[in-house]
Amino acid sequence: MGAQTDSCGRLKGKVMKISKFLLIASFLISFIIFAQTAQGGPLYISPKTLYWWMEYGESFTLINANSYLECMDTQIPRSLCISCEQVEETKALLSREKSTKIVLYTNTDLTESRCPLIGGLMKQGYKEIFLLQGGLTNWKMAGYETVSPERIPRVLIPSIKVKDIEAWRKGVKKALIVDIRSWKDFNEEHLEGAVNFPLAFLHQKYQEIPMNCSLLIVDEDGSKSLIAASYLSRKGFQDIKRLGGGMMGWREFKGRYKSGVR
Amino acid sequence: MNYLLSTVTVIFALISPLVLGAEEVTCQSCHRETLNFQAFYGSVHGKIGCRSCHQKLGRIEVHLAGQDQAREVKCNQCHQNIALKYKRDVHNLKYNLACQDCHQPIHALKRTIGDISLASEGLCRRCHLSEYYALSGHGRLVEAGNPDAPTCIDCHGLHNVPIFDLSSERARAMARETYTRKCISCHSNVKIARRNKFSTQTVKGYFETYHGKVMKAGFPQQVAGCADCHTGHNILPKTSPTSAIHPDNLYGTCKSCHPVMHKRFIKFDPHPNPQDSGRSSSLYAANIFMAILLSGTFLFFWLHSLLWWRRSYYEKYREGKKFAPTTSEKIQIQRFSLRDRIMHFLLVISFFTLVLTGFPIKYPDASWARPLLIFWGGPHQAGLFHRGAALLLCVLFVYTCWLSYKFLFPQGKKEGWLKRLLGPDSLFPNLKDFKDIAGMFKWFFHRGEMPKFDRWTYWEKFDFMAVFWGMTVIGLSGFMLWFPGLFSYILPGWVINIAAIVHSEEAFLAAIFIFTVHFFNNHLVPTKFPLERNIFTGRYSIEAMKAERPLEYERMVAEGRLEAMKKEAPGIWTQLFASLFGLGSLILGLILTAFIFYALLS
Repeated sequence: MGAQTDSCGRLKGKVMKISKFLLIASFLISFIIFAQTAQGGPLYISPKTLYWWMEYGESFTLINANSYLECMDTQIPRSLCISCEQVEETKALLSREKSTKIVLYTNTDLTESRCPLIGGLMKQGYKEIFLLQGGLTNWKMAGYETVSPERIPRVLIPSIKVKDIEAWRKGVKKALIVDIRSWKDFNEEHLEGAVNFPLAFLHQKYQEIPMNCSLLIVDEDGSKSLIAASYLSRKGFQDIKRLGGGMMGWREFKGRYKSGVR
Repeated sequence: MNYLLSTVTVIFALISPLVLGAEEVTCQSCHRETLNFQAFYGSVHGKIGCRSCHQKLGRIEVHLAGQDQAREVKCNQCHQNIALKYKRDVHNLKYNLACQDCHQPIHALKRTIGDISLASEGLCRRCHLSEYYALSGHGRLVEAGNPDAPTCIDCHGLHNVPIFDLSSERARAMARETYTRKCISCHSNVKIARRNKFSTQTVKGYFETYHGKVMKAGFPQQVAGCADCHTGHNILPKTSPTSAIHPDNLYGTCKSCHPVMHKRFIKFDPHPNPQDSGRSSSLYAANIFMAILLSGTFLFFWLHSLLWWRRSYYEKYREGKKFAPTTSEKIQIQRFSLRDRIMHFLLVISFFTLVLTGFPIKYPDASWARPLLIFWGGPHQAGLFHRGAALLLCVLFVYTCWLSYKFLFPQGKKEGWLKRLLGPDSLFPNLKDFKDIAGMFKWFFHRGEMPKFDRWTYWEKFDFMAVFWGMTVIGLSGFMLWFPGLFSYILPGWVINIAAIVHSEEAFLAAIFIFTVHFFNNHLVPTKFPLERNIFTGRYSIEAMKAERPLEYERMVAEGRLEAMKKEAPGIWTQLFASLFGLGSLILGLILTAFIFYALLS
């Protein structure tokens, strides 16, 4: 009898130990999950989910955070054009209801560091911010519709190599390097003698660019200079070139030059 | 004022045919200044009329009133196949280019005459920098009218130019794989090679290197593809000073991936041909040496195993000879200590890990290579396991060296070391072993009795001594391949090529020797089939000892040491573990042998 009581007691002790362990483990796990979800950062949304939201009349605001020119050139239907740099404009354009779902996208994936608009919206108290996975490129790859309210017909403007910038400068009467990246990127690093006309504001400020200059359009990776150059060409600028590979190409060239590879 | 003017224009346009008796209003009436209708009529779309494309245009009155603008033209209504392809083209996905952006002027398009790839090249050049390409070997051949020369679309495709977001490693890997395959598709084509006087061996050689093997296995993330060394467009022969593979530039080219390296590293041949003595006599010699070593070893031991099997089989089934049971006795003989068994266990684990992680790279073409690499989590992770197992083997090797030293010089005693080295307890071969080999062959052919063995047989000594040779060769070459940059500070790059071939062939020798000869000698021979467990249990029966190692038995009896060797039979759990682990290893080894031969033959 005594032995039975002993073994019962041992079993109880074991059960208690396991229960305690499970309790602590579940507490820790739930704490980790809570800590991860409570960060409150924007969530990613797939093109498919966004498509179904649109199909089934889900209430949300869709923002194309590209520059105005790019947004008007191509966008997902029913998008608002508010570029990443236009943080203040959101106050006038968006609903004051802070629980409104907001979906943001650009051509590629968005991050808070690259798009001040995300941080701005969060500061204003918007809680449900979604970023389109892979951006417009992924949306198109998935085969969903885009619209072009004011397409900019492309002009086939040739680009020049980084190593040929000096030769280009010497070869034209009045050279002007137009850097279309954001002012933040421009301030961090830019080509010597470059002036900053962010693509987000180019449609408003292009008149400030002297018409009699030969222009070299510089962007981050060579992907946005064509649309800017095409726009300026339609606005009457005659001699335009693009920097092949943009600033990324320039950095790579600098790196290769330093390591002895020409 | 504008409103008034437009109203007058519309009214005039509408009534002008009536008033002037002229033709009805056509597109030309208004658009002739901005559009060259002559060119349009002569263009490829000239016969289909404006409204065929501008379908959404409503009534002319509404259009004239400026209320119905011409909307986006959908070329895909006619050009469905192209439009379908173009949906995934980088120009559409990333740059939103429409048909008319490239096909300018859209209203004066002519049908392409001649080679479409040449025509499209001119089109690409309008936007893309083509200076490097034009000066490259490919560009010059195109200019010279060589039909084999690749133009833009031959590598990048037409209307389906793939998109690669180069900021992501995965996309960079995909780009590398895609374009390497493109290069290989032409450079491995015998007909193109013959016409253009280049060798397809270049591609074969690339696939002989780690770069090529991992690429072939489908993991291009961390190896060099063609463009990593030859660049994407500035592809020039190494004699050209601006070429990335010119001797003056090669150091920088290699360094971009191998940051720690000496200039000697550039002597590495990324397209080796071990069969070509003219290209590298040292590699050729290494290849010949390994071929002789492998064929000699296998020829002798496979023949040995075959004859042994025939003789044992004959004894067992024709002569009905009974073999001593190895496990049934309660009191058994301790053959291997716990230390020996742990070492053997670790050796088995290490060896299988090395084979399972190394052979998918050796045979990247094999259907089992990729799944096996995926099992390890990719070639990088497989490489980590490979190195970990190699280090474990190195530790075992060093420990074995230490034990050998202790055996020869017990407590630092130097006297009698030669006697111990050549004595019956030593694993070092002696004269008796050579006599035993001759005796075994006589026995195989019924010309004599089976030789009597002492503690170690000659095949066991060979297994042990082979580890010393194998570890030195495979270990040293392995370290060279692990740290090619560091080794270039003391050795020229071409030694890496030799290391690669030696490591690979020696691995083959080790794996196949263990899985065929060692397995046969110790497990699959009819006297022991299917498994000899004493290397895992440590003990075997006295009867088995008498039958297998009579000289040792007699020696132990004479020296009065037999009693000390007697132990109780291993417990059930030890036996179960020995059977499961031993049989599992045996089966895995045989499966791997089948895999390797399948890869070799296919």
